[in-house]
Amino acid sequence: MADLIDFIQDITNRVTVLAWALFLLTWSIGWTLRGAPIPLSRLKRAGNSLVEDSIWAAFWLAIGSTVFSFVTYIIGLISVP
Amino acid sequence: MDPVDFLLVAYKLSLLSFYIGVLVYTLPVPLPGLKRWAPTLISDSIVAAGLSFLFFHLFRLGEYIMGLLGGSWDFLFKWYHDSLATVISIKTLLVVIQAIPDPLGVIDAIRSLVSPVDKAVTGALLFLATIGGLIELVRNYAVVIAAIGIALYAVPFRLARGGGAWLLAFSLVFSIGLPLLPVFLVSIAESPGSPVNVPEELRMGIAVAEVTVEDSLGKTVKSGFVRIYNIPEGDLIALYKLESDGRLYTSYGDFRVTLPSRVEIAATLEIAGVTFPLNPSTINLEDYEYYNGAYHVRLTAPHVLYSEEEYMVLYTNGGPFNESLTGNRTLSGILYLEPGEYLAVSFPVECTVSLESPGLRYATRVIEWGGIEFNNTIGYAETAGWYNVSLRINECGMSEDPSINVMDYFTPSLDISFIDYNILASFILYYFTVPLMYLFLLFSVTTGVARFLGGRDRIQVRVV
Repeated sequence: MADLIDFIQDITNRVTVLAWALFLLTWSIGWTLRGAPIPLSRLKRAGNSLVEDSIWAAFWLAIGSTVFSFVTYIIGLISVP
Repeated sequence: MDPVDFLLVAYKLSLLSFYIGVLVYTLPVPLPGLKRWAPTLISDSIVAAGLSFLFFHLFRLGEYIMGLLGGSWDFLFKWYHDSLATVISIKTLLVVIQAIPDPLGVIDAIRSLVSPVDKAVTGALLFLATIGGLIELVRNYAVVIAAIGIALYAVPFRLARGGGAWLLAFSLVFSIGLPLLPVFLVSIAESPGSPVNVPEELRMGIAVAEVTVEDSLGKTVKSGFVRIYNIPEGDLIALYKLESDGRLYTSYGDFRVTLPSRVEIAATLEIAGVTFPLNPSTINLEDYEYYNGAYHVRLTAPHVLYSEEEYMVLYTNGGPFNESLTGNRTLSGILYLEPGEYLAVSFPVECTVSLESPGLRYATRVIEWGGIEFNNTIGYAETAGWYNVSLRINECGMSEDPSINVMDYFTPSLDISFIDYNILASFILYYFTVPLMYLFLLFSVTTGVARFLGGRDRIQVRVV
């Protein structure tokens, strides 16, 4: 069972690193598209959504461990008679 | 297996789900279909983490609710073992009935009646065993099953969410609901007794026997009644009539009488108002020869010297007796008596009988037996010695038989009263219908809870 847990942990770490890298990439691509001198509103919107998504992703990445600590805290408050 | 390991796996999997969700957010691909997975994965991971933290709280809450509703595992175990014992004892009775040899050809009919009842009882037995297995499973493994359920629940992309939710719901619902089964049951149905009241005869076994009774001189006793008692209870279980061929007859005039085959019996002979013990004192049918479809039993009345005439008996508690002459309606010989021992004759008052045995002190009385009066003459010996005995029957002929009712051990008639169909109905209700209903109820609640936990099959979006 410990091997399985390590394996999942390992994947999670890789996913996190990848997510940070992709965040930078997406954010850059998003701004690139927004700032590109191409007058296509659809392209601009795509760039906008990429920037938006990457900011959400950065938000979740940053507070990820906080979220789980918060879940633990909330559940700790629920007492069973 | 330790549930904590599974919970740890579940927690790690929910973390993985969370970061995969974030990764999907970060993908530089503006595909809304793909991006919808991101909030779903994140919210699922938070729920799964919450469930894995809540796990032991959930079970404690379950136990608390169960206690509030009046359920307890001890009560369930007691109900289960009582029910199992009852059903097994009924099944045993039915097996006994069906295993009885059928010398009279009537038990086949009873068997055909018993067979559907047997099926119901077998069904109830198997069903109880199933419940027993379920109790074992839930009692010992509910926590582990639920932990596995949560681990499956936390697998990313909802790959095993449905199965995990069902396992978790099953463990929770059954660990609360199963101990409430007896509470539910007794509020709807009452515990029935046994629908089968096996007649005593079927318990003691039935065998067919041809029984002859002989006197101390080896001649057949030609009249009288034989009472059969079971051992060791000493209850009268049959009363047969001795006919002139020396055999016992049933109330419907058959010389093949029925006797218990599984218990020992004892018999007494009754003639002319006097009761005699019969040898052997303990009769076990298996000691006798069996041929032509019946046991052949020969009993001896050691005190009877002469009983050629109907309802007339010459008897003694002394002996030995040396017979010198036996003719038509006469008997002569010498008999050894100790002081206080006696020679006696009992005969209907309508007969004329002379008993001569010089040296004995006689006393005569009239006794009533079966509505008929009998002369009973007893001659006591005052000194030890051999006494001449001479018996002569001058005239005899009874106008009517003594009114003693023959009682057959087993009557070969189709009596189905030993199955109580009202009790059978409540038996099926109590051991089958209501528990099954309750289990279906629990399973449907499980499905409902699983659906609640697992959500619908399609992906829910934008929860967070």
